Amino acid sequence: MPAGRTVSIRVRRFDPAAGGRRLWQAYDVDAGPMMSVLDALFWVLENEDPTLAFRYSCRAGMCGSCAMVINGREGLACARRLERLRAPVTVEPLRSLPVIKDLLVDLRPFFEKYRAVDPFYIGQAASVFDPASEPAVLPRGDAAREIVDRQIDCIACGACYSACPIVSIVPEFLGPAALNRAYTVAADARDAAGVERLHRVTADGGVFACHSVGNCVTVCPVGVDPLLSIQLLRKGAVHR
Amino acid sequence: MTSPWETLRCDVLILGSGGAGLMAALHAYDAEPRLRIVVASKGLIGKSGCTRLMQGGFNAALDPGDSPERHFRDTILGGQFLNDQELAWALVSGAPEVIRRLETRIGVFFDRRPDGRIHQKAFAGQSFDRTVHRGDLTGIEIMSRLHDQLFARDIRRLDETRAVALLHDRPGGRVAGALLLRQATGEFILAQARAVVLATGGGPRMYTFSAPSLEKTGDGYAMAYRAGCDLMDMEMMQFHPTGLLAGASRLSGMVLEEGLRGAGAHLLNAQGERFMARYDPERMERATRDVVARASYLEIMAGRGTAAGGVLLDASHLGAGFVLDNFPGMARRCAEVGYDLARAPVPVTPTAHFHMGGVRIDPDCRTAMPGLLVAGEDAGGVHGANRLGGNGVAESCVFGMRAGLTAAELCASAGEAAPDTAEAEAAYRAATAPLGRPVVSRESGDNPFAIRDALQRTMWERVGLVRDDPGLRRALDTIGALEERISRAGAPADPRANLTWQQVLDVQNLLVAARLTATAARYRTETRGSHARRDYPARDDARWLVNIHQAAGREPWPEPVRLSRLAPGDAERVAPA
Ligand SMILES: Cc1cc2nc3c(=O)[nH]c(=O)nc-3n(C[C@H](O)[C@H](O)[C@H](O)COP(=O)(O)OP(=O)(O)OC[C@H]3O[C@@H](n4cnc5c(N)ncnc54)[C@H](O)[C@@H]3O)c2cc1C
Ligand code: FES
Repeated sequence: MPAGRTVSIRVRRFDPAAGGRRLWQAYDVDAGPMMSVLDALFWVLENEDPTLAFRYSCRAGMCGSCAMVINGREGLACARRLERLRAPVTVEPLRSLPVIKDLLVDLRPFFEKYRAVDPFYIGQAASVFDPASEPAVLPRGDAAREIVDRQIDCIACGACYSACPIVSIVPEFLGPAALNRAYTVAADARDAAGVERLHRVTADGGVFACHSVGNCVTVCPVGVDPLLSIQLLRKGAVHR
Repeated sequence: MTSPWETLRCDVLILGSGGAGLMAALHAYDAEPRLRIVVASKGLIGKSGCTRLMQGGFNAALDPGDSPERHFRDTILGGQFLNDQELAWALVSGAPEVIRRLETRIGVFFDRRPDGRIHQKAFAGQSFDRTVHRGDLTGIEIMSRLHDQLFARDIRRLDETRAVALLHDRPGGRVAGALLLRQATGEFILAQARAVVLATGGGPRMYTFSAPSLEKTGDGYAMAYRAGCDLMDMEMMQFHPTGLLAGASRLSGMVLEEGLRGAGAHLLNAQGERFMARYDPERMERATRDVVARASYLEIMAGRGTAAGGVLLDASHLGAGFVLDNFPGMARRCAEVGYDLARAPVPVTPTAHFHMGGVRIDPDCRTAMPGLLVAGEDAGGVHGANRLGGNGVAESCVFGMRAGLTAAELCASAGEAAPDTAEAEAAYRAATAPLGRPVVSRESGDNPFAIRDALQRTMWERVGLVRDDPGLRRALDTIGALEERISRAGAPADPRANLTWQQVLDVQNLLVAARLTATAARYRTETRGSHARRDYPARDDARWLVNIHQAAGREPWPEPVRLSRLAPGDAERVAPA
């Protein structure tokens, strides 16, 4: 796409608190080279419509603040370039989450489920005033660690949660991101928690609710494979 | 009158949720779990800020062959003796303990050597390979794990809730809370706290090219300045030499990490020359950031830059396999915008990266204002005139931890004090003033986005990598005019999720940070570290081993650096251990 071309984007607008309806609004964006969908939204805000709402922070695909549904598929607005998207580019908020306004969704349900798996590593119990012990010696090439290493890069953007059909029909399903975290912390050889980590994720709404649709793998913007984590948890494939 | 805010009472109020904010929250809690702790953050907690963006890694003297003394010397030499040496010592002596805590208590996993111990890599300007990392995207791992730990503790979170003003108690002798604004609903909160930790991460977004996350707009500096704090070293703005050039995208200015040059990547001008040979033939691309960034800038100014206005970073001779194995995140970032880091040169520009200046603190993060602690990039003094790569996140985590412990200690002794409602009222009125004023177009007047662009241009051209008195004077005039204009800028009337309104508040703060930067830059008539004066090109230790301080309602003033541990003569004489 040459510099200075106009690209049409259609944004799904919604303002529930004002009793608004969902409607599509179209904008013609003055698209410079390498602009992302996030850049296009900023262009609209700054030039056309000072009321547009969306979320952002890093603009570099690292923070997971800007996930939305772009041309029908979840992705990070800052990582999808206009020149590689079919126009008009459609932009909608994530699914299965309450909309605050326009593209801004309330991520609390997503994080409540994340919290429900006890995502925190449990280490040595020591007073904050005592010095910490030496980090574990963990030879490179340990097979379990290699899988964990590939799976811990999750940026908790919510794309997988939005794309998962089970999340949309089974309200208690914890969803791919939470279960992925449950696996990575359960499989961390340094973690001091016991088998209760596994009990939690094999109960209702846990790994057995997953139907292996695999949308989570397809949409993950950072290459994590939540389905693999879910499968490993189902097999109880963590040494405890 | 019914008050326009809800009220909240807590013991420790933490503003910002980067490395400093979350380390403070976790450590305050662990020191005293009965404390009521609140984290309020402009962006989403655990996601926003620059700690998450950090790539290269974290400096800590872990290896038996290394030592805090040696890390200290590198830090002071890098900072060209402007550092507060007690703060620098707290940094280097605390860093190994913090790495151990992150690994064994928080659950962060750092890359290992073949023997299973933590791997440490080379970073520019350091005499030892001491940078701990996880691949080339270390910040994601640190922030994700710190965030996980919040879920294990009873800590109240206020996501997307920005601090608008620090508030004093009635006589004004101490800080007693802050006025907060929930961005989604437009509601205000008057928060009362026994200790406030300011950790909003500074952030030099007032330049055309800059690296930090977009929501960081110098809010901490502006709030601290308005609250009467003493800010130091504000002229010391670090430019990173290798900001990616990405056309019309906001991705421009995002950093390609230093480890690339550490590993041997070259910088080339448009003619294909390794121009560092002209500026630092010995260290070449591994010279400190200030030297390399300035060299790139001078090449570009001399007409030897590329058509896109930058220079080229070339890692292709290191071998595609090596680059892809060691810098997968950087390779992906380049591929996104069509560059092949492993096989071809990539266009880069110097980019405003880190503000060394900030609020004056002591090693326990106390400020001159009782009740207010400051940690992370909002604080000044740790890095002097130039920060070493890998010392930024170390600062956030070490001082965040210390701020948390100090806050817990303060709460044991400090009584409660109510914030002055008149002060809150005034801050509320100022913050809501833009609502409902017309939003004019960029072309026709006081549009906040246009004002931001004008500020960024001025700062880039006149308060950037090379400065001089006439330029700085013009910049200050421009800043004055922009201050006028932002005071008239408008935003839609509905306060809910109103990004234009937030932008007006952001630009007000950027202007404060910009004025402090330009004022100190004019004051320092020498060249040192990141501060280069065309009209005073030499470093002048006889006159300028001083820090420049600024506070509201008073002229800037110099204070001599206390060379409590190392003086210029000693350090350059002592060979590295
Ligand atoms: C691209 C990049 C790469 C880097 N790489 C490295 C590296 O490899 N090694 C290294 O040592 N350093 C690196 N740094 C520097 C390092 O990231 C920073 O020094 C450090 O992370 C700052 O931490 P902090 O906690 O002070 O602030 P941040 O992590 O930036 O957090 C600031 C927080 O404050 C919030 N906030 C902002 N304004 C307000 C407000 N008004 N009210 C409430 N909250 C607010 C933000 O939303 C955010 O949550 C890098 C920086 C960048 C930009
Ligand atoms: S803004 Fe951070 S991932 Fe897009």
